[in-house]
Amino acid sequence: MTDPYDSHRHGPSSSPERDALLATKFHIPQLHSDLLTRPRLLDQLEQAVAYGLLLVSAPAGFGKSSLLAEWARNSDRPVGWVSLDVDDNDPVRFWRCVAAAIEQARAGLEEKILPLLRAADQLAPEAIVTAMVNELAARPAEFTVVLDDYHVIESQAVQRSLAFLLEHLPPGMHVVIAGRSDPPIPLARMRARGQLAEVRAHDLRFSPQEAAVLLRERWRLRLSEASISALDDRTEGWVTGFQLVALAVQGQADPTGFIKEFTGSNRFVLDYLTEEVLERQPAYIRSFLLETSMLERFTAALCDAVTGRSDGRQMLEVLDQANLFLVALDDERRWYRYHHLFADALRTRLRQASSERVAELHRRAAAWCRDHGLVHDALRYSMAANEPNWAAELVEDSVDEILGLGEGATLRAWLSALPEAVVRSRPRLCLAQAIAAFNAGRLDEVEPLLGAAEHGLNVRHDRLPAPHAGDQGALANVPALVTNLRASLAWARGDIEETIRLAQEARTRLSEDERDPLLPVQWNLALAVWMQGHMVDAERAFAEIVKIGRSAGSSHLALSAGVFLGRVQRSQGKLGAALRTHQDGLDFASRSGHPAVVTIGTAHIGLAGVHYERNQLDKALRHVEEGIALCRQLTSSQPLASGLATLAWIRQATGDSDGAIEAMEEACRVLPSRDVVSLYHPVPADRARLLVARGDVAAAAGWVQERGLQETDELRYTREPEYLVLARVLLAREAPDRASNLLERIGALAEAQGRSASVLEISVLRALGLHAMGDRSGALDTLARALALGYPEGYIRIFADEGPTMASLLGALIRTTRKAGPPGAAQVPVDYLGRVLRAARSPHAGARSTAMVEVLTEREFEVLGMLAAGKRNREIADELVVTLDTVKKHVTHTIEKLGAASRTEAVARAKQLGLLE
Amino acid sequence: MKEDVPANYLLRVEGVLDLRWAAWFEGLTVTPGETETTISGSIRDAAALYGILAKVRDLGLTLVEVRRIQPSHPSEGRDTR
Repeated sequence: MTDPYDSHRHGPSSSPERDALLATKFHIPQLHSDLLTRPRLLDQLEQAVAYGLLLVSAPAGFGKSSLLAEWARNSDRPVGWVSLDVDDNDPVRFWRCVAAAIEQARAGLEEKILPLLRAADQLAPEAIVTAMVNELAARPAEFTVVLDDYHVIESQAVQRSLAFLLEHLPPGMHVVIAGRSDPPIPLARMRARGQLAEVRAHDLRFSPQEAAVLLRERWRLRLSEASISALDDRTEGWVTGFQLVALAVQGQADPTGFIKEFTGSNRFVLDYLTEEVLERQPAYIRSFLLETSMLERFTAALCDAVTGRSDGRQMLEVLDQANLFLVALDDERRWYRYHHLFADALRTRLRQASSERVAELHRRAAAWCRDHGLVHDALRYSMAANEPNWAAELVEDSVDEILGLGEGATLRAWLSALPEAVVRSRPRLCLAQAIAAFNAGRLDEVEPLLGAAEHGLNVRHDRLPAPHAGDQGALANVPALVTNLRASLAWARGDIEETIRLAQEARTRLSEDERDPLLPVQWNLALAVWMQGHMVDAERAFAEIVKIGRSAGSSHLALSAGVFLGRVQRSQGKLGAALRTHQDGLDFASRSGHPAVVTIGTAHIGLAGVHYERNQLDKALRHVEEGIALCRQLTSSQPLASGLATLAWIRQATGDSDGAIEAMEEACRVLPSRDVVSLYHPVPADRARLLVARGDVAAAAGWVQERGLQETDELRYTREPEYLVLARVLLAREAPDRASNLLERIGALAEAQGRSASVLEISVLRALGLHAMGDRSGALDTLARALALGYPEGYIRIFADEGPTMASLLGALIRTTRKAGPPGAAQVPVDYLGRVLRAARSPHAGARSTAMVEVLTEREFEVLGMLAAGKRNREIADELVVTLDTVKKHVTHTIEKLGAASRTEAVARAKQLGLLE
Repeated sequence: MKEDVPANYLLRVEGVLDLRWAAWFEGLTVTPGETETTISGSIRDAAALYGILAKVRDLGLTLVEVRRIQPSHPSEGRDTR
């Protein structure tokens, strides 16, 4: 079985105790030698498991786990088991454990799910469950998974995601939930559908007959029928009660009398019997029991550490033999715990000892656990021992590992359990808490924590001791990371200027010997460089992060950086490079066997964008739909918004204008803040652009006014999308001269920064502007140059989206080219021009494949012109200096390509398409 | 209930509990009766109440009653007769 705590760079300080303890969670409990098999219950279970969900719900001590364990060990069905504990309230940890349990019964799940879990703080838990369900459904198998002690789960996130799983249970999968309460998940529907089976206290109670067999035959107690009946009555068939009685009765001079007194008493059963049992024990056993009762789980060595004795091994054997409620957690007899109820009763008695003694016991336990790498336990005992500073140190040392495992919820829980003053006094913890809050989206909490971290740094005049995790740890360089997190906050707010400033400041705080700057700082620096328009540097910076992601095996990081890399490349007009970036991202993710990574959606959306530009609308649509479905599961909504915007343009291009604005409105809605418009959040500007394309200029103009955009504003790259909308509005409002001035200024900046895509778009708009001002030849020239620029990378929609005016300009250009022979524009093949024209001409023509109307060759164009002039084949042959046969062939092809049936129809078609005047 | 304001509660369980269980129930008053035990006192907030109920559950005690006792705080109480 794969190690579910599959560690990478910042691996856990692994220890044999820790591994052994971890394994006990998945161990199907041992069967006790004196267990009474009750066939009726085993049969009931075997049948009940056939349902989707079996609920085993009864208070403590009814023998749920024993029964399930007996069934699991004897059943033919593959069964996976996990004993849940309070730490499993972290949804990421919970699902990691469930996956490990399933793996026991059905191999192959973990390798698909574990990589996903590492990026889990970016995902909703439902995304993890979806991936699990898909994987299980892809290769169905019959298996059962038992979730024991489910009552410890209180986390809403876990409950919701479990409910989600039960709603979408893959075929062949059976779930058993065992606990002391009914889980707060919607069961009514499953009940109604007949998918739910239950075994409850009523079923688990021992009948008087069963009690008789248990007490008399199994435990060889000589009790009368009346006594047994009275016992069954008193304990209500509660098996733990019987166990306690059996222990208490041993060595009693008058067993019958004892029973009589017990059954006649109203005292709380557990208390009464525990007292009896304890009194029976020699002092050295009693003290051992009491002192070790505060441990949740223990080995002989841990017992010794706590009691200060050295007889731990022997004691455990004695207790096991005497059946004194010792539960073995594994087959090797290394780890044990006490029966919960017995331990509770013992602890109550322990509490009556001096509190200092109790604190000391906890302290010893904490120290031993810490020394043996058992962080969760050490933390609990430290807090119970009233040693918050120990606890704080433990947390600090564990931050890297916890964040690396994606268990942000655990970190948050730990930090909130520590006294605030302790956290405040430790800058690293403040920083850790700030990071956890940021990752959870609780942005308001971040700054105060950063302030506390800085305050803590200032107060300590000495330098912070080196972190245990080494220089690459998440908390290695506090000042740099504090500043860097502020940069991330600024980014989240959409404050580009601040992001840039803070990222650069963070860099200055890196020390000389940090040759490889910390990744979070690198990331923000890359963003800053991009925002400033240094495209070459930005490309390099993001490419570097992609590389880091790939070599660390993190698809998530590689893909996230790939999103930005693709954007940068598109800004530079490098459609082919952007395509490769996104395709490589997809390939890498699937090669490393991580198809479940939801971030793949971003690569699909990136591909969709490029295909759209090239007018490959079918491909674009496929990718964008896939991408949108995946990105709905990400917690960051930017990629989803981007995908929806692309979908909007695809619809617009295929003539579904209403569908387009619908998608675009949704894109705006999913963004956290609609007021933020910038390079990274272009959707609001994109929407305004769509409004112009739909002819709704008033609305677009309204938006421009709302944004307070003026032609005289100082121009920045980060706000380019908005100003291009302004230019479009000006054009649409018949103020082409003003538009042209604005465009020239935007264009100058774009040109200087090597942002060819913007230059291209601006040229297109300038051509339209010139045309509007009556300078037809200027317009055609500009357009020709734009086409020459766009051709190598296959840009089509950048022209086609500009509507009928552009279409007629394109038509005119084609005609001019044909007539006048090659000027600059003849660098561009006619068929490319034809494609652009067709796309611009009509939405439907753009959508259908070019097979519909094939591209005409140079020659065929000429022939077409002559056909339009009414010339007959012989005349054409003479003019072109070719044979009659050749002419006939050209004519036939031309007519076919235009989808016509005759020369007349062909000419009409051609005119319709704007190929002829 | 104002979820975050302490209030007085009274719980009754079947069986006679020893006084030592008061510590288990976070300092509430444990009053053993003839056949039942009363557990009462000020409970911090809703979360604490459910914690206490979970402890009752975990001990396998049979819960007979949970009652919120009207606070005797003059500013919160109504006019009494």
